[in-house]
Amino acid sequence: MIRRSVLAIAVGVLFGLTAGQLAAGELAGRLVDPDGKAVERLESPITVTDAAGRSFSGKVSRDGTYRISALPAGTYVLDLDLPTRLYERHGRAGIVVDQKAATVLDLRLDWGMNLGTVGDDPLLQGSDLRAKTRNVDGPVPRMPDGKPDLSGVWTNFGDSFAGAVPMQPWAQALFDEWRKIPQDNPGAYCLPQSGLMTMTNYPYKFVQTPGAIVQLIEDMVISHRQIHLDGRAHPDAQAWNPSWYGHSIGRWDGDTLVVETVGFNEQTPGFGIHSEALKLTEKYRRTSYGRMDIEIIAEDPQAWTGPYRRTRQAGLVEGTEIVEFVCAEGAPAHAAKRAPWKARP
Amino acid sequence: MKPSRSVFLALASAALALPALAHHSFVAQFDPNKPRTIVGTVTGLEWTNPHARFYVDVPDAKGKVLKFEVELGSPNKLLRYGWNRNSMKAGDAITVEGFDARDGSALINAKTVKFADGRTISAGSSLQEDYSNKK
Repeated sequence: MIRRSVLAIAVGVLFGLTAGQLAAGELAGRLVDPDGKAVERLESPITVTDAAGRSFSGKVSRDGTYRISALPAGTYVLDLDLPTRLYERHGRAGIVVDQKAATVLDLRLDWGMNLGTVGDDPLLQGSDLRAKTRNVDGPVPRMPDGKPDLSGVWTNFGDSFAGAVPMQPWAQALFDEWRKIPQDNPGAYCLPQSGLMTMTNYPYKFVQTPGAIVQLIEDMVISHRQIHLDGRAHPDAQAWNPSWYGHSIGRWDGDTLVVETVGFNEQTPGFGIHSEALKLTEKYRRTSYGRMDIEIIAEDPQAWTGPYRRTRQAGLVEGTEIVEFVCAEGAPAHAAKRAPWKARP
Repeated sequence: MKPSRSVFLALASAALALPALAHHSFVAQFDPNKPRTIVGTVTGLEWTNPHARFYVDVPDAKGKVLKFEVELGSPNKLLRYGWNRNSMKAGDAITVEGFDARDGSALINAKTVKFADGRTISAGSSLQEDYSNKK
């Protein structure tokens, strides 16, 4: 989740460039790690969006500095799209740009979940897998009934947990307290981070049949869900146990698959602090052989002040399969109970 | 049902007593500004989730043996980068470029591993020279 902070704007020295060399309406600064070192080589896209929804983009230079020019006066939300999990994703709100002077803002990144162990950076693994796909711009495959076929192994571009969830004050306060205790994250116990199976940085597979799409994801637990396409309604609340992934039904709107999911439990941090009233709408549109657009709208009238929205893109992965990942295997409590026959001579 | 503060606080205090081997404490365990290269001999490999790990004996200048633990990612991802559970065995010569654990223990997080047969596996490390082809 984006940490909300209202920033004090300080005009100061920017990595060899003084504020006097910047023009009014420019936003510039540098990326630094928690040790104060410049973050180099990422060359990440950086975007600022004003209250009217207009976006302006730049790119971080190899030396870790960035500069976005010709911004109209206003208050902006900043989003930094990082290619690696070495750093926590970064966003800011309340950035004020006026026409009197430049705005200098250094972005201090936090360390990410772990350090790029071989094969452990999910963002980089995603891009390595997508690089092998041929004919990305080819036509969208179709089912016998003419509907797009979403079948395939996919990985998502960009970090899954970007975007601020607009929580009500009581929920935001709980969330801010909970965030201080990393061991309370279900991910620390190999449990799902999010009730939205597509909100993952790991590979997932769609298996499309006329009556349902089965989604398998390679994340934490051996995870699956069904997106029912047979016209059924959601089960009555009395006949449903609130669950990690909820109950999903889908219908076609032209070539867009619209999926609605309800019936969530309250355990996944991927939606901040949320209630069992959480409702998720996803829209999937395969735009070419190798690309799929995903729009996500989540609503929770009991815990939030408004909807959470996100768009992202997925890339098809060829030449690999979903590989079993039972994260809890290494938990020490299980070690003692491991199959005794493994010790046979 | 609104999650209640008292339930949250009860969970919070229980959580603090948990064992350190829980998957990802979600704080930075390793320091990318403290790189270390070790050259030594493999003494064991644990090919397990959520992090495979192996152990290396490294002789110091005086011949004393230092024991290091090297942490990797999970086997499902390592498989895709060309590893499997037979990639190394006790007695193999190994070179590891990695980063020190912040707690000062003899634990490093691997960036690249060079095997006895000369192969180096480096794909997947967060620290790349160039991210422009990572899309």
